[in-house]
Amino acid sequence: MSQDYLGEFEQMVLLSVVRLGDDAYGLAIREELERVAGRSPSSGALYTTLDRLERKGLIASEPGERDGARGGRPRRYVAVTPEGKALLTASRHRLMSLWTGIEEALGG
Amino acid sequence: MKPQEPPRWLEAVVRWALPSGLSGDGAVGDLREAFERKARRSRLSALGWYAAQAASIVAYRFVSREPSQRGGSDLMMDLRWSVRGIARRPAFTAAVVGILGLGLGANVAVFSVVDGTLASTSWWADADRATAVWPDDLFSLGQLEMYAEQQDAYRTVGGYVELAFAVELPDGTSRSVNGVLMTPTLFGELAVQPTLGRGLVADDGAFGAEPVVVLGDRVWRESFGADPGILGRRVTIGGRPVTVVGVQGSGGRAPGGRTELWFPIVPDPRDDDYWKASSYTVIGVRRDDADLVRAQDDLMAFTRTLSALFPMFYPEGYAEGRAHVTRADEAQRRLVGTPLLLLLGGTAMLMLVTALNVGSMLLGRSLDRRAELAVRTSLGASRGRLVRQLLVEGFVLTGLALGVGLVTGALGSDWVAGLFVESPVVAGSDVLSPNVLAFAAVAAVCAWIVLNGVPVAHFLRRHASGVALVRSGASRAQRSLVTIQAALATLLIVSSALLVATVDNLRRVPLGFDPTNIVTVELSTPEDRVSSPTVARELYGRILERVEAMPGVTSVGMTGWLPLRQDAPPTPINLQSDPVDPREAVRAPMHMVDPGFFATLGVAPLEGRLLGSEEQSLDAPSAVVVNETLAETLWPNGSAVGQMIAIDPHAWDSWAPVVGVVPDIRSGAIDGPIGPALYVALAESPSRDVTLVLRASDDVPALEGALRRAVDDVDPLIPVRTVSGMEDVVRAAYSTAWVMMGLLTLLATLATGLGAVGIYAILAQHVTRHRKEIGVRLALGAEPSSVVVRVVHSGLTLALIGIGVGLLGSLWSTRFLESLLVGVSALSPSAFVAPVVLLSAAAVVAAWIPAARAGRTPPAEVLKSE
Repeated sequence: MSQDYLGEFEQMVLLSVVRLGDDAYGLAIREELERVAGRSPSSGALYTTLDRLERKGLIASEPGERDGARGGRPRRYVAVTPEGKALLTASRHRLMSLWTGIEEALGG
Repeated sequence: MKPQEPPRWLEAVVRWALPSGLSGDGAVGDLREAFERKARRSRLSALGWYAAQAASIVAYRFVSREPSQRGGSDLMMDLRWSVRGIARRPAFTAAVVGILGLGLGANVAVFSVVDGTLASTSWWADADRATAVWPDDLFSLGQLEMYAEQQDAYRTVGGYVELAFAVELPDGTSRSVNGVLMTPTLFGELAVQPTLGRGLVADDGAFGAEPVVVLGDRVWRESFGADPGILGRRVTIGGRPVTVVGVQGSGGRAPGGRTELWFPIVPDPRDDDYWKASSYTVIGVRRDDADLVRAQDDLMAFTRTLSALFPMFYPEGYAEGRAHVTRADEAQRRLVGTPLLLLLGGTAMLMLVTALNVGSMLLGRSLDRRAELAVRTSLGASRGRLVRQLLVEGFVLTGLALGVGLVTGALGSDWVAGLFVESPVVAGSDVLSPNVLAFAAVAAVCAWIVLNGVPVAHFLRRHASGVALVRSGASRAQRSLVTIQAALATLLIVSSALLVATVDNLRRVPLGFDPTNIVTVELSTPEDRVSSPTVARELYGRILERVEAMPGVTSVGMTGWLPLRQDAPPTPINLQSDPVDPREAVRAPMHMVDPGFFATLGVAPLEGRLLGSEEQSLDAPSAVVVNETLAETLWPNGSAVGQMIAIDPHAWDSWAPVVGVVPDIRSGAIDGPIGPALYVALAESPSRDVTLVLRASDDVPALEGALRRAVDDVDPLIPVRTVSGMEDVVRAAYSTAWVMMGLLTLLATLATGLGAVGIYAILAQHVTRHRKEIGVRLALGAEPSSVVVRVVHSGLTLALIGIGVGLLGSLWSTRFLESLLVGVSALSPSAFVAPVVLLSAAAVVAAWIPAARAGRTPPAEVLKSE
C-alpha cells in the first residue's frame, strides 16, 4: 500500500530505523531519536507509529531471540521496506525543493 | 543480582493496552529492558518513568495524536479536540455537566422507581394470566372451595388472607411478622420460589396434615440468624408449633407486598367460619385457552349460585356491575401507577429544561468561537466536518453528564422510593439494571439531540448566509430557548400549585376527632391467646389497666379498627320498626370498640350515651351506637336512641337497642365521603388485631419503650406491631399527595431557577454587546433608571411570553392530575396565577444584575473607546 505523504514524526522514525540498520528495535529507535534529534517521544507515540508504519507496508518486523532479561520476550527488529525507502526519498526531494532559495529570507 | 522488574500489575495494564503478538511483546520487552537500566540508578525514578510510559500507551489506545492521514482517525481527532476544549474551560464544562446531569439524574431516579415498582407488582410467575377474581369482594373458605370446583377458566385457583403472626424467636421474645394463609397450590404460581427446602404443596392443605410454614428470606436472616439447619425445625408461630419446610427467595414478598410467612389453608367444613368468615382474596391463573372475557362469564355464572345459596349476602342482581375480574397486578399498579407516571412526566419536563438551558449555553459559546470556526473553514474544513465537531463535543458533554446522572440517579432512586412509605409495592430498581440503563441512554440521546439542535442549526444557517446574521440570529434562538424553558417551568408550577392546594384541603378534612396527643399501639395477638371471648377480654383488660397506670397517660381505649388505617366491611341492618329483607337492608361498617375508645378520641355523644362497661359482659344484651349519618339515613324524622336493630344476618331478629349517636368519625380513605357506621362492644367478639389508643402528655419516642414493656409485662408473647402518633397516621393517609406535592414543587423550583439563569445569561450578553449604544443613550441625557427599566422589561417580556404559552399548555395538561386532586379543580384559577407571579418575580430578579450594570455604564469611557 502506498501513500503520498509522511508526517514529521513518521519520517523521523523511519530515518532512525535506516540509521540503526540491523539493530533497529523499539528501545534503540527511541534512544537514537533522543541522541540525534533531541526528541524524546512517549512510548505511546512511538509504538503506535511503528504499528502504523508496518500497517502501511513501510517497515517490516521480525522477532529476535527470546531474552530472559526482557521477561522472555523477543525484541521486535524492524527494517524499512523498499516502499518505505521510496517514500522517504520522495519526501526529502519535496522538502529540499521547498527549502531551495529561502535561506536568505530565513536569515541563515 | 536479579534483574529489576516493573510492578506486575502495571505491566499487566501495559500488556492490556498493547496489541497482541510481536508488536505488543516487543514493546513490553523494551519497556522492561529500559526499566531495568534506569532502576540501576534509581528504582524510584524508574518507577515514575514506567508509570508515565504506561499512561501514554493507555492514552494512545484511545486517542491518536498523529496528524490525520487519509483514511485516518478523524473521529478520534474530533474526540481529542473536544476533550481538550472541555479541559480548557473547566467552569463552563462543570456548569454544563452539572445542569444536564441534574436533569438526567432526576429522570433516572424516577424511572428506576417506576421500573422497580412495576417489577415488584409482578408477584405471579405468569403475570399475564394471573387474575384477581372479584377483587373488591372477599370469599369465605366454603365459597372459595365451591368456586374452585365449579369454575372452568383457571388451571389453578385459590385464595389468601393477610394476617399478622406472633413469631417466637430463639431468644424467647416474640416478633410480629406479616404473613398469609394461602391455598397451597397457589404458592407454586408465585414468581419467586424458595431457595431452601420447598414451597407449599397440595398435601399441606389436607385435613390432619402436619402444620408447616415457609419462612421469608428476611425473617430467616433477621430472626433465625440465617440458620441453614432451619429446615425441619419446629418453631412456634401464633402460639402453635409449626415445621419449617422452606425459605422463600429474597425479593419474594407476594402476595400483598409485605408477606414474610406462608401457611397453607387447611379447610375444615365443620368450623363455623368455613362459610361465615369472608376473608379470602381469590386469585386464579387462567388456562391458555381462557381470556378475561371467559373468566368474567365464569364468575357471573358463579354469582348466580351464590345468590341462590346466600340470598342475604348476595341478593339477586347484587353482582351486576360489581363482580369483575382483572389482572392480578392491576390494583397495585393503579395504586401508584398514576402518581409515578406523572412524576416521570415532570422529570421529563425538567430534562427538557436542562437540555434547552445547556443548548443555549452552547449556542452562546459557539458565538465566542466564531473566529476559530471561521479560520478552520478557510483552511478547508467542510461544513459537515465542523458540524460533526460540534456534535462530538455535545456527545462528550452528554456522556459526562450521563455519568453524573447515573450516580445521582442511584442515590435519588432509593430516596424517592423511600418517600412512598405507605406503599409496600414501591421499590427502586438497581440503576445498573438493563431497563434503567437503556432508559438513561435514550434520555441522554434525546438530551444530546436537543442541546445540539439549536447550535448546529444556527451554525448551518450562518454558514449558508454569511457571518452578518450571527448575532441577531443567535440572540433570537437563545430567546426562544428561554421562552420554552419558561413555558415548561409554568407547567410544573401549575401542577405543583394544584397539589399544594390538594394537600391543604386534605389537612383540613374534618376527622371527627382531635388527633393531637393521641398515641396508637397496634397489637397482633397469637390465636391461642384469644381462644375464647372470655380469655380475650381478660387479657385485653389487663393490658388496658397496665397502660392506663402509666405516668402521663390520661385516657386509654381499644378498637378493632383504627380511623384512617382500616375500614370494617359493611353489615346489613334490620329495623324492628320496619323490618326489611337482608338483601334490601341498609349496610354500614360495624366497628368494635371498648368503652374508653370514644373518650380517648375526645368524641362526645350527640344524643344518648356511649358504650359503657355494662356492655362488656357477655351476658348483656348487645348495645349499639350509631354515627350521625346512619342515624339520619335510618331515622330521618325521629331520634335513633331507643330504636331496636339487628345486625347479624344469621340472627335477623335478635334485637339490640341503639343507645347513642356520635358525630361522624372518618374511617377509610381520607378523601372519601364519610358514610354510615355503627359501633358495638369489642368484648363481644374480640379480634386478634386490636389497636390501643391513648391520650398522653408525652410524645411517641418517649413513650414507645414504656408501652412495649407494659404489653410485655402482661404477656411477653404478644408482639407490638407499631407504635405511632395519631397525627402521623393521619399524615400517612394522604402521604401520596404529600410526596407528589413535594417532588413536583422541587422540580418546579429547579426549572424556575434554570429559566432565571437563562434569562440572566441572555440579558448579560445583551448588555455587554450593546454597551456602546447604552453609553450613547446615557450621554444624550437618558436617566439610568430608564436603562434599568428597559433591561428588566425585556427580561420580563421573555418570561411572560413563556408563561402565556405554558398556561395554555396547562389548560390541557392538568387533566392528568385529576385523579390526585381533592377539593380543587384542575383548572383552579389560583394555580394558574401562581406561575405568573413566581416566574415574573424570578425574571425580574434575574434581570436585575445586568440591568443594574447597564445603568452604571460610564458614558464617557464608552464614547472614548468609540
